[in-house]
Amino acid sequence: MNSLSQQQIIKIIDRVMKDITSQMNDDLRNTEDSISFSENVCSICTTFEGGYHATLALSVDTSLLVRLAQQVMQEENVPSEYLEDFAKEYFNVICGQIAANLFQAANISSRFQIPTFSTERYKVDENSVSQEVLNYTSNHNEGAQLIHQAPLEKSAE
Amino acid sequence: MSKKLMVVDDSRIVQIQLQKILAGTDYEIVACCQSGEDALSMYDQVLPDLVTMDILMPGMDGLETARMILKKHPQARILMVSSLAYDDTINEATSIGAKGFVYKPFDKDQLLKSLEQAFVES
Repeated sequence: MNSLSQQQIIKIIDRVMKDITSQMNDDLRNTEDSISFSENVCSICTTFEGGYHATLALSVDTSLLVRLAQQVMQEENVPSEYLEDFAKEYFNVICGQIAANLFQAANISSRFQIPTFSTERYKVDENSVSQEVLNYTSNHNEGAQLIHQAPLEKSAE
Repeated sequence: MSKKLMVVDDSRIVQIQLQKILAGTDYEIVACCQSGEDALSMYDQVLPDLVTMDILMPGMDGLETARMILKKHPQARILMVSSLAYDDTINEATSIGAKGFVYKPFDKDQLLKSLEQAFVES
């Protein structure tokens, strides 16, 4: 089995995040600035297992999620009870594509757990992991933040 | 006559997407299940012409559900619809007897082409 460096993995994650969002008719651009979220933020989190061990969490302005859901569902009004479903499905697609890309790039076979949803920003556990943070801004100046936490030794093999 | 589809996906969003995409086509969604366990009992009730099957679901996953449906109904047509689209998963789905694989996120053309292909092949 091959391996990927942390930076190569982050590059894959970043590309998938932007590609999937673009396929849902919205665009995200990277920003080096610190993210200024609105008051309404959701987060979705999962853990990868198998040849790739990491926790991946996405915090995102709720208004961005609503707009993406409107486009995917082709509905002007997205009932609030569907927002959690949409957020998990959006993240599920992102994680699935990350797993597929890891396999294509280095034959790394991995699965991930069913994403969990929260109506708060993801809180980082700063103790036991190495961490990479990717910040994004939408065309409507909404914020999104992907946090990748991997075991300290190695993240994929 | 329209073809009866059963959708197995824990996401209501995907169920809504499929209903919108398939409206006005030759396919009719006759049942939606949010788990593999529900799908096993529902299959016997509706005997669909085709099942669209997610993989990652709480409880029994889609590959195991497909395996169990095909064990009982070897003629069943199952189309995997998942974001877990890489060789390992596709090979496993094929070896179980799935008729095809649709990658999430999907669009109308991709879905209809895969559905058509699943019926041609069987």
